[in-house]
Amino acid sequence: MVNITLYIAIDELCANAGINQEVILEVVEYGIATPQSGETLSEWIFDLESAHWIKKAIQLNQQLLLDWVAISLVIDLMKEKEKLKQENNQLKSRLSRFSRLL
Amino acid sequence: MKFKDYYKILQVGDTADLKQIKKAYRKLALKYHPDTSPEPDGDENFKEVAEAYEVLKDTKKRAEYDELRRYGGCSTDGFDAPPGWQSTTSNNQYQGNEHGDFSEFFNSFFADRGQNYEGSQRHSPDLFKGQDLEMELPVFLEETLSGTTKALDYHVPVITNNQRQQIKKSLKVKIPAGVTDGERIRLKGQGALGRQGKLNGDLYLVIRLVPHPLFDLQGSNLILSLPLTPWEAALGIKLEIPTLDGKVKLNIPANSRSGQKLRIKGKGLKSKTGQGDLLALIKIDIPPLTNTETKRLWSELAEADKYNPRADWS
Repeated sequence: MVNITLYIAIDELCANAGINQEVILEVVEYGIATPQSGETLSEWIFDLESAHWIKKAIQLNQQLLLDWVAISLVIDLMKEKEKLKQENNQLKSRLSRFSRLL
Repeated sequence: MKFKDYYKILQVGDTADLKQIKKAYRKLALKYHPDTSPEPDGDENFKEVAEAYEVLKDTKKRAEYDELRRYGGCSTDGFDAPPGWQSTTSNNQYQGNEHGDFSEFFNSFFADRGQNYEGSQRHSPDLFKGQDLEMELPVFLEETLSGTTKALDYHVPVITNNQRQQIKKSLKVKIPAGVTDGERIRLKGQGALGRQGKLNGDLYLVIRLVPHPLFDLQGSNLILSLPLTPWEAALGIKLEIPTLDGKVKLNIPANSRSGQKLRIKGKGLKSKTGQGDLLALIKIDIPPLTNTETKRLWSELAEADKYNPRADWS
């Protein structure tokens, strides 16, 4: 049986993504992700949702050569798109059930 | 191995300066990036474009590439390095995963240890650490109530001798109660294998809740469509209704209307903020007129009750 974790510490996140803590600070300052807990930068812990968006932001920075303002906007839109997609799927499922009853 | 024409991939001439190369890369990267591209082959095209840019943006690598291109760029029967050819930018012992998605051609000639992404502020990345992997995990709604154990079979990429291979891994994982759709779970060290004693990557599981034949989701609440006959809705009735963990008795009050929701507390999904509810959504189901007796009874009702549902139209 494999143990699961639902959080990741900043040093581990940095090692995984090959970045330094200042990049994470920048990502947080632009509102792309928020630490779950931790008083100081080196104590920050993120939930995996935030860790996912931090990695995505770094990918966009590296691969599309975007600056952090643009990345912040793109990530906001991507989050909104995911939320709407999920809502759309749920509503479609309800609609098809409703249509069957008509 | 197949020769890669990086200039052709980036759609620039071989005399293009760095500014032109960067401009061409940005244009194509935006076109093919998996997060922005609707094109079916976007991912593969993006890797090719990124690989070409990785070489052409670097003066030393580009010079070496130009040399290789002059030597055998026109060859269609496979490509080998010129005799005695020695890269100054590549570690020829490369077997790693940093460019696991790049071609055999790239890994043979240009894979090095010191990738320098523009603006990324990378710091000595641990290039021998295994890649993180991500996969979706279907979970039934019932399984979210008390947690479940799932067996996973998946493939881990390994690159040896510049060849990309897959090895199969199997493991069991305990999924905690209260997971939600889209939530991520991390299995530390279960991703791609690290090399030279370095850490393995992690495996991320993205929870996908399987659509249920009876219940729809609304946050942590469940919605159950509850069909009623007109007389059940009018007169009220006690019914047994299904929940995720067995049946419960529900009192349908008289004068219930279509679209009305009856709340059964605590019978929804578990969530981080508590326990959701089950909402029974009433739908009035009109029975088909199959015999004259039924028709007569409906006509009698129509005579006896002068209710007009369209009264506010006039």
